[in-house]
Amino acid sequence: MTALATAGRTLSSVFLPLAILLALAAARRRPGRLRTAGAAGAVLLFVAAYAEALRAPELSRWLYRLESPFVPAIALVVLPALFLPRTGAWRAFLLVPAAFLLLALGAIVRNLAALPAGTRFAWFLVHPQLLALGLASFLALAGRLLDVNRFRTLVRISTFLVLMYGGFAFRQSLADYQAMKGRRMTATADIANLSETSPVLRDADRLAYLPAAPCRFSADGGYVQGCVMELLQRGLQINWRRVAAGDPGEAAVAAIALAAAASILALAFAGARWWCGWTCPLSALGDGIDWARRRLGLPHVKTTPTIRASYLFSGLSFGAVGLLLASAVPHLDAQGRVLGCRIPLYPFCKLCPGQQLCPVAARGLAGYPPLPGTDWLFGLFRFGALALLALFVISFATGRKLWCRFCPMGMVGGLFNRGGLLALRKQPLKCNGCGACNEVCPMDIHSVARDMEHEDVSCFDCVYCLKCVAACPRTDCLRAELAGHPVAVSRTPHLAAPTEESRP
Amino acid sequence: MTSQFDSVYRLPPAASDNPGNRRKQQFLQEEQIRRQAQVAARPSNMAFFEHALSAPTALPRRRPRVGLFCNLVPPELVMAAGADPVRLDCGNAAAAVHGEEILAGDVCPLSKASLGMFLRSDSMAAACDAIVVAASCDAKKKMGELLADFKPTYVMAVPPEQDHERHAAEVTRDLDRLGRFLAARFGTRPDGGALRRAIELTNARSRLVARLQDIRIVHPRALGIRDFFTIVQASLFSPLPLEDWLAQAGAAADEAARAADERRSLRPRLVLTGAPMAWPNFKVLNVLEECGADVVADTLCTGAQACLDPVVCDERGRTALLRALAGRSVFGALCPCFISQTRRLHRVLDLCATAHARGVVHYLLRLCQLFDVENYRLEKVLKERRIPCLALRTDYSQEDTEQLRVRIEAFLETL
Repeated sequence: MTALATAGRTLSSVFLPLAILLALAAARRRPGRLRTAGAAGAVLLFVAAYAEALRAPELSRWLYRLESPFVPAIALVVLPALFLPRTGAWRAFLLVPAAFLLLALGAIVRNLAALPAGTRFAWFLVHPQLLALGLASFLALAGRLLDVNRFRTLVRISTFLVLMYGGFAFRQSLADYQAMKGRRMTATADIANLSETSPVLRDADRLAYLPAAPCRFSADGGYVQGCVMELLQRGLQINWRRVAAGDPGEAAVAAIALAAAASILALAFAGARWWCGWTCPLSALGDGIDWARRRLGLPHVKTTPTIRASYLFSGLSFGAVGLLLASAVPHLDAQGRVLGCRIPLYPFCKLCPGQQLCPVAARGLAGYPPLPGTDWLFGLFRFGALALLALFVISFATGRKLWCRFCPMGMVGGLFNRGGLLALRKQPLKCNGCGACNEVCPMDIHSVARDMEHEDVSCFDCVYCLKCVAACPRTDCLRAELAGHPVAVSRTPHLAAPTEESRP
Repeated sequence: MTSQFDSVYRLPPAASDNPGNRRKQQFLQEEQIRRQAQVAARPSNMAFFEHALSAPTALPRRRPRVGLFCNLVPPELVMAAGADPVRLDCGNAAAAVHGEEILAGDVCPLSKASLGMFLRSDSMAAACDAIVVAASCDAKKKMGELLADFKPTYVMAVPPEQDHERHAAEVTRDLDRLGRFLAARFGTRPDGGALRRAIELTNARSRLVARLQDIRIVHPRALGIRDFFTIVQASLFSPLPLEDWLAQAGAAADEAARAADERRSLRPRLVLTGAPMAWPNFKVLNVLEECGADVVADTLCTGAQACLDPVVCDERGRTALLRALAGRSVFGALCPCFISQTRRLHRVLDLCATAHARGVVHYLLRLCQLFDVENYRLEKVLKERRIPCLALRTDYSQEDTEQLRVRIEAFLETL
């Protein structure tokens, strides 16, 4: 393996940003030059160990499954943009995203120009790694100019475009694009048919997952494989007896699922429910509904403890039922039945509104999957799916992100809201208790306003949209921290930036 | 809307005009203006604010006027109903004597003075078309009923604790009722658009007050505490158009910011907390400044706290706007009428740290039990943190000025 390839693969490891962030957090906790040097040393040690591990072919194949084309963008653009002190070095760093952006645009133009004569328009052909670098660079540059709220909207729209339309608009190569076109012609959308989609980021040895709910049931496969529930269903379908018996096919499937689980855990540990608030396409669709309600000036429903508990427990039950049905899949008989009932391969997905909404968002109403007949588990997959779709629309139309209190994918992210690398922190001394944070909160969280004792006010439901940080009228009262480093801080409105002179 | 007060036992409005007392009220205001004129450096347009405060009735009447009691009533609702809000909490010692004709002697001087103004036919209080009182203390709650004899009055309920989750909905409903009361009074429609425009205006005031506060924290002598109070209260206690006030106060802020660098101060820096000080009752401030202390920050509901916090709106709907108003006015208040005093303690400690203050002055208005009771914990908490605290319990009368001076001088010695 060449040095360049080794470097590229080390950069792609999902554990690299995690190692950097953990080292930064450790250095932050006990500041001092020695600690910082120690943290840098630990990261270098990790890089060296990783490069060494890549030399063993068996291990190298394993590690490959844990790598993701998105990670270099995080390591090279996102982390420096967040962590570099705002000095001259930071301005010099901006040349890096500018270069990546030009590189990505150049690649798209080159690929378009290189299309053989007579080929019809093939959208943007770009390697996922370059797309991720270009997108991250664009956002890093734009983030300099925008406030938190506008920046989040920009991130939402751009990730929505990639996750939803990436399936046909950002294919890797012409061959990939044409294969997609071919599949598109022959694919039949059906409840039992799983190969109807094939995301861009799929190859023989690994699957790409993101926390929150990036659905692959969108135009021609979407960009990533799917959400954590898709992965859990995949895991439950594995026949572990056959794995234990040494079946190479089943063992490979299990290995891929385990590796995907490890990388999704790493991403959730670093981002928790931030993925919900900033990247989730389902929540972006809901934002559209919410935007319409706001434009009409209609009031929204403030949640009560009863509403919150019902959403939590019904969401949990929905997830549990979906996973229970998925665990029956290995026991399907030749007719595709278990205990005489027909169940699809991905029962949770077939109930989830994402599977109904994302195809419509991507292809228009024609993309709406045909509703399964009542022979599928007594009509559960027909009426249950419709009921959940109705719940989705009603929740977003009346209660901001009320739906997200129901979403099982979000709940998994919520487990990392405390104890992960992201935290919402408050200085109770600065708080005036006005409740502005609750007023703007799409999840209707009260604890941030109420807590007058603790610094860490992160809670299970928070999606880190940072609206509260932007709205808080008290300087330094609320802030979001990544690995102990403040990434957003509240300011009194008349102050654009912290003033050095506010010291006598 | 049905009235909150039954007309069965309604009394004819009392009146009492005493030219001697009127002259005394005028004298107290002029005396305060004279004393403030001795401040070394002040913005050149202070006369504008002093005029608005001491002769509010002389200002041209643009729209109906609504008298407000207490900082918990959001003035934006009044502005949205097409009227000018004027706060009527009165600090005039002579007026308190008048109020005793109706109220018992054991009621706080602020209530007595405020009610006393209603007995005068040429006062701002008498020129108002409606009154809104927040039931933040027993005196105010019952005064509402007395005022209902004089003017159409609305008494706004105040929740017992500042638990946003538990009480925001009921305060929002009450504000909606208040909005409808005002709209019916002045024949306007309670809609979100007017409310939004009013909030934009008062938020501009908040930004300006926050800026003044920041200038004062860095350079307290660029704008003395009395002048700061005068500027802030001119926008609250007079029907001055907010646009005019913004222009004048902005000019004053610019002037103070320019003057800031020239005046470095090594005088003791204090934080002021406690009961409201309404124009012209700046007795304690007079003594503090004359003794050479700089009050760098305050938590008074007639000072910075009156309009420091902006209204944070997220949606355009009227309910959402009312909830945002409730948040700023009721849940962000530092008033001791609520069950917990954590917020005020937090603010005092935070101001001590951020404004680098060396001591705290707790101003207690005699006969206001709420502040009296809170004094115990405040003193203990400050003592624990080694911040000297001076509790001054006094009323409107000028007689104890020299005793106060002795205590304040002794306190400043210890800093």
